[in-house]
Parts: sequence; C-alpha cells; structure tokens
Amino acid sequence: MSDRIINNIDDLHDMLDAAIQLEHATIPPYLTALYSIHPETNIEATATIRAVLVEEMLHMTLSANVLNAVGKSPELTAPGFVPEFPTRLPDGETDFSVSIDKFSPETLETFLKIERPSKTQGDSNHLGPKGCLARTNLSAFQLRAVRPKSAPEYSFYSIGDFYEAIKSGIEYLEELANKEGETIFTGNPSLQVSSKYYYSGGGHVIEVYDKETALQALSLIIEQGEGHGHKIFDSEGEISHYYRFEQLKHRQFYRLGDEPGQPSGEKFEVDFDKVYPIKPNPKMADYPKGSQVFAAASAFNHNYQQFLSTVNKAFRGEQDLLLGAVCGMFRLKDHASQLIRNPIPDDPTYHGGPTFEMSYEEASHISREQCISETAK
Amino acid sequence: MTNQAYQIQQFIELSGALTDFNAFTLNGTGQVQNYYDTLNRIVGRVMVEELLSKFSAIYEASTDHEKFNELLRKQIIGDEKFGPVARNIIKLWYTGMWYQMAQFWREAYGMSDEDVTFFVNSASYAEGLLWQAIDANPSGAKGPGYGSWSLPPNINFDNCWQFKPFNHTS
Repeated sequence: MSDRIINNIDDLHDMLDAAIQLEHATIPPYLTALYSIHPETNIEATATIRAVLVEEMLHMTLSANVLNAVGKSPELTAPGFVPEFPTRLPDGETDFSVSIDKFSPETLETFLKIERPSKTQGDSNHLGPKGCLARTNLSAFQLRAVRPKSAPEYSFYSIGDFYEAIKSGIEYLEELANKEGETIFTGNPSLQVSSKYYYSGGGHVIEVYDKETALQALSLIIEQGEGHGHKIFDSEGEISHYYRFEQLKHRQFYRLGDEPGQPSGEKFEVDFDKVYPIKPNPKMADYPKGSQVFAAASAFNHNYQQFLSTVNKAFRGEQDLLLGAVCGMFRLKDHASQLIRNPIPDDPTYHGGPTFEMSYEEASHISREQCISETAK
Repeated sequence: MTNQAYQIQQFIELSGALTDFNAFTLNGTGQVQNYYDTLNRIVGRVMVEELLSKFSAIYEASTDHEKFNELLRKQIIGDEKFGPVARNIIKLWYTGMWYQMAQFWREAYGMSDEDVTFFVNSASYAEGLLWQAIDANPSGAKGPGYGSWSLPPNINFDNCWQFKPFNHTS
C-alpha cells in the first residue's frame, strides 16, 4: 500500500475538487450564524464570524486557482456540490457534522471543530498516510470523498492535514514530472483569478502558475484556518480562525505572547439570547406554501444557485463576472437577513432561515436567464 | 399571546397600513421592537394603546380596503392627536429617524425630554424603507459592490401591505 494520498494527477484533481467543495460547505453555516445575530449586538462575535466567512471565500478562490493551474476547471454547479445540511465535511472528519443554525454555544463548538489545528504527531494514532485515518463509515459522507485509487478511503483529522496532503501530492507529482522534463502546471494561465477581480475579501489572492505559487496559496489557507505550527498569530500578526473562535468561547481577546486557551486581552460580552431562533437545518417543506417566508426562502435558493453559477463561470475564464457577483452577494445578504428576522407562520417559536436547497432539474433553465428577478414570487 | 406581543403585532399592522410595506418586510429590518419601544418612550404607553385600539376599531369596522383607507384617513391621519404621531411613525420607518413632534402637539399632549430628532440606532438609517422603496443603497452604510451604481433599480413591488378581514391571523 502506498503511503501517499495523491499518486497521480487524477488524485490531485479529486482532492482539489474536494477542497473547493469543502471551503464552500462552510459558507452556509457561517453565513446563517452571522445573520442570526440581532443587529447592533454581539459586535465581537459578528466581526469574528464575518472575518472567517470572508476568508473562506478567499480559500475557495485560491483552491480554484490551484485546480485551474493543474489543468482542471472547478465545478460549482455540479449536482451535490452544495451539500444537504446537516453534512459531514468532504475532508472526512468523522466526529462531527455541520449544520445551518443560529449562533449558539453548540454552533460555536462546531465552528471550533471545523477550524481545529492538526494533532501533533505524537497524539495521532494513524493507520494510513500522514494526517489521516482509514475510514469505515463512508456511507455517512454524501460529499466528494477522498479516494486515492491505490488505498482505502481516508478521513483527515483537520482541514490543515487535508491541505498538507495536497501540498505533498503537488511536490511529489511535480518532481516526477520534472524528471521527464514536464510539469503538472499545464493549466491555462488566463484562467487565474487575480486581485483585479477579487478585492477586499480576506487577504490577497495568489495567482498560481507553478509549484512555488501553488504551495504559497495552500499554505495561506492552512495559516488563516488553523494557524501555523499551533501558533495563535501568524507572522503578520493575524489570528487564525480557530483562535478567533476560541476568543468567543473565552469572551476575551488573545494578545501576542499568550498561550493557547489562556487569552489575556480585553474582555467582551457574548449574548446568545440576542439571536433570532432559526429552525435548525431548515427545509422548504418546513415553510407553509404561499407564505412570505416560503417565497423569500425559495427566491434566496434561486438567487444563490444563480450566484454559484456566476462564480463558476468566473473560475472558468470570465473573471469579469466576479465584479457583478459582488453586488449579487450583497443582495443575498439582505434576503437572508430578512428571512432570518421573520417567524415561520405556523411555527412562530422558530424563525425562517435559508435552506440552501438547490434544484438541479431547473439548472439549464436558470443558466439561460440573464437576470434573475430579486422579487419573491 | 402576551399583551405586549399582541400590541407589537398591532403595531406591525398599523405600520404596514401607514407605510404600505408588509409585515415580512417590516420584520426584515430587525427594527420592530426598537421602533415600538421608541414610540412608547416618547409619546407614552397610554397614547400608543389608544392609537392601537383606534386602529383595531377601524380595522374591525371596515369591510374592504377602500373603506379601511377612508376610516384611516379620517380617524387617524386627520386626527389632531393621532395624525402627527402616525406621520412620525411613517417617517420613522422610512428614514430610521425619530423627528421631534410639532410644537402645538407637544404643548397639547406632552413634552417628553426625549422628544428630539435622532437616529434610533446606527442600523436604523441603513434599514430605512426609503432605500427599499427606490432600490438604492444607503450611502456609506451598506456595501453595494463596485459598479452596482451602473445597474438599473430593481424595485420589489410584491411586498405591499394588504387589508385582510380582521379576524384573520396574519
């Protein structure tokens, strides 16, 4: 059995497809929790979730740049790309799933699990390649699973472990290719998304043309997510997602020099009561047909699907579309907020929430429409 | 339903009738409770209760939207006491701002120290219905996205308030 996850270019493509899906899968939960917070309250929690959410969008773009650089186009409109919530994450953590839900202590715990640092080598009792465990409960994973051809399915303990495996794969495959006088970076450079199109979104986007830039892009994802080498702050003084969320748990900011788990900075309030009670993992079937909540949730899903389709085109050479997609994003935000601030008519203890249910039967119809009406029908 | 929850529901209906935005849109601003509290604080709980009872009575007495509008105009908008309050509720929803009541009203019905012109909170400006009414972005307060100013407005006309028989739960 090979002890490598990635043994050929198809493995690498699979892993990067999974990476894009993984980054995207975190967006609905972060977005919903963020908009569930009452306006004007929980200032620190709002800023934290927002910062992480925006960086996930950067990570998705960076992963797409790497995939394009190694010769494959992202597929954001493929059926199943948007998971059905609650969902496992595609890098295969077995001990938690991710929900669309309000901001709460439980939600915060899940966010910490999503962003958790890699286990130090000593703790990990791994039976497979570095950073992974052989997985037996594959049926629990509806998302693109990591499937190296020559080995059983694996799950990773952390997202960082997953990206480390991609980095090793790139180094390995590029070295093999170079020996033959070739390269794996065969993608069309004109497909790269540059900072001309991606702006003020969680950091500087890195265009990927070779091994060096690919590793830079992937390292940035790891650093922003779980931090580097278990450090709270990175070399530029930016705090990683994991420790950002830990600050909310401790209700206190970290300062440079603090030890993990012991922040010593300014204290602040987190008020879990100042949150709209969204129905956990809502589905369209939970909303009475003909109600405003139903219409708004339906319009949101429609617009979200349209938005993904636009981003997909932008990742396939029409980068200009990203500029317009930003406007679409602000509209989505307004629509999601409206929905979340309204009680479900027949079940007023709960509020509405975006369901992120995509309808792939209509996909061809949607892609023909130039401009989707924003109005609830 | 608690008395306050009922009052707030009535406040939403009154606000809908005055602004012509439905309950979904009003709830969607996240400002219902803030505006209700502001109104109570400044014109007083008794006045708010009177206004809402008057509104309920009009609603019950109306058989259709036309009749309802007529009664609303005569008995609330045209009323010396309730008219200025109703107009302030409209301004509150459209701009997110409480405007000081006119001097004659203050002299007749009470001068609250808090009755000065102010923004209810920092979110209320951005949540003003006027932005939705014209599909524009509140300057400096909501990110419209670069170049969005080149797109034509896309006004939603499906969020109007509707008169329904009184006993219908909305």
